[in-house]
Amino acid sequence: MILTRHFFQAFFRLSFLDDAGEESFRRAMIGVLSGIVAFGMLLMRLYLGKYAGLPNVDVYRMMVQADRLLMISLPMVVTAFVIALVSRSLFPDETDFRILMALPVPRRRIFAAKLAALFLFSGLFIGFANMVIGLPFALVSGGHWAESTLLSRALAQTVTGTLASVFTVATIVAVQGVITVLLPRMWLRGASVVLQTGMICGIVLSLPLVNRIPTIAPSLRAKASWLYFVAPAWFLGVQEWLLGSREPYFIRLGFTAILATAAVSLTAAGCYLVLYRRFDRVVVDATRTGTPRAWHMPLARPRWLPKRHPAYEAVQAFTGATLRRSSLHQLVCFGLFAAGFAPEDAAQRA
Amino acid sequence: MLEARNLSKRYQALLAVDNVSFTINPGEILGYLGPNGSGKSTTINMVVGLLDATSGSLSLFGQRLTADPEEYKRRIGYVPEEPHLYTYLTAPEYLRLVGQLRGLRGPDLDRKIEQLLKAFGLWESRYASMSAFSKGMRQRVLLSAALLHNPQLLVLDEPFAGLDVSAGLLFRTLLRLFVRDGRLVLFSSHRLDVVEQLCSRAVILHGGRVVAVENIENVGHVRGPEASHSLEDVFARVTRQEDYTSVAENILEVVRS
Repeated sequence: MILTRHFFQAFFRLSFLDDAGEESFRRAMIGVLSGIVAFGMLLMRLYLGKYAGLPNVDVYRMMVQADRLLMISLPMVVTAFVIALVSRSLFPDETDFRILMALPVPRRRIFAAKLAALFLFSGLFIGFANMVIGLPFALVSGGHWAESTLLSRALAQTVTGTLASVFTVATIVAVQGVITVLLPRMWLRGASVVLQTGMICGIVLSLPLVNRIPTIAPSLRAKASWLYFVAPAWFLGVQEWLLGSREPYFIRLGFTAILATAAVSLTAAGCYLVLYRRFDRVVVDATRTGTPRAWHMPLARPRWLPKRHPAYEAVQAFTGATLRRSSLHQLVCFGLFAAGFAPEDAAQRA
Repeated sequence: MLEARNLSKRYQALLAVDNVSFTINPGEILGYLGPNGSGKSTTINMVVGLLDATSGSLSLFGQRLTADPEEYKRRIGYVPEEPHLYTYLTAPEYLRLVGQLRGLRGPDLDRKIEQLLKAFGLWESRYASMSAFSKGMRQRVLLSAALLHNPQLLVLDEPFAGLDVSAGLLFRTLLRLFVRDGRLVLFSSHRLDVVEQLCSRAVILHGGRVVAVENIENVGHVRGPEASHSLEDVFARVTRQEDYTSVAENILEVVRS
């Protein structure tokens, strides 16, 4: 219990930020959560009007499926963003090893506590995202043409939204776990930084696509095969099945969802198990004895460039090294790039 | 007493520690010396239960590490060389976590934490997270954590790094008093002068092997007045250290060039 609480609280502290940065992050997170609540209320109001004014059941079916897909995708995005931020803390690390393994605490308790803390942390955000986005939609999406009861809609939305978010968490844990287990220790930190930066950029860049989900209603109606490659669509299959649909298309999508969730969950569990057995290897820090790596070598300055003051060159070399090696700087740079590129991309598509 | 028998640790092709044996008797501070890469930290990691030995055994007052690791670790306090801490915690929060994981609870724990922090001069910084602490302050937190549960064996890996003169003096006095009632200290350090002042015996490691076990008070007699008198000389000889004069001259040449 003590350890679980400790690990749970540690998730709210990003290891790559200093005290001031952590405080800013916490405030930003509170802002984001408030924004999600406001967004959920706005959606509720919009959809209330939309579903009250639909002309017939055919239009209703087309609209509601696309909107359900959106309501599955949004909690997935929120969960993915939060878990990506803490992706380097998903497994017990060297600090945990050095502090906790010297105490009379069995290894299995350390891993069980970390896992329990991860369940609690992800459960908090999964529950929150589904509560403020998915559930209100289920309540207001009945309109005049609802084909299922309010309770069954709410249950189906909650179950699929949660399952989709669990799939998201398990995928990130599995990918980080595979990296942790398979990569040599000297590459692990760099690879984790690249993965985290890539995930956050990917999430930001996917926002315009998520925004366009309601427009794919015709593709859903036509049972387009490309939707087999869209993870949120798998969970729409589960939801349609829960709501009584027995169409083979949705059953196949739903089956894919169950299979994928089981696969990534098993991979994540397997990584935990392997790391549990090999935990002491984290002590051997190969980065201290490894050969120099390409990104640690100073960049060669072209000879044709004019010579500058040594202080200028020192600042230039320092900036280059910082951008190549500091995870925080990379995350901020690429995150800002993605945040700038995403609206531009959306505008061009529009 | 602590008995380490034929301890070995192998990392694939590398034999980091090779058949190391030593004992620490009740009331003794044992110095543990060796150049970088000699296997000191690996041995210490095995003694505190961080690493499993490839072969050999460890027992503390008859309690074997492999028989009941938790019970064995309950008797040990450990100050590592690198100040590994959850730096986002304050010192009282960290000590409370460590204390609770060691099975201490309630007002007794809080009182002990307060008294230790006051004694180590950290009470004024009790609301600051340890990320703002100097290395010396972090060492003092680590020593407080190591002493919190009244251990039988204190394992110290370079404990004086970053400490100012007065804190160093306090630590030395503390260690001398700590072993008075039959407790043990394993003291690993590069500071040979401190080892000479504190320890009764010193184990010297080189290439993962024990190359000498010296009685500190006898060092001068053993080597003879015509040879070397200090632990430093013994250390340099048994670990085959380089000729420092020529290395120092090389450095100065580089500086002057």
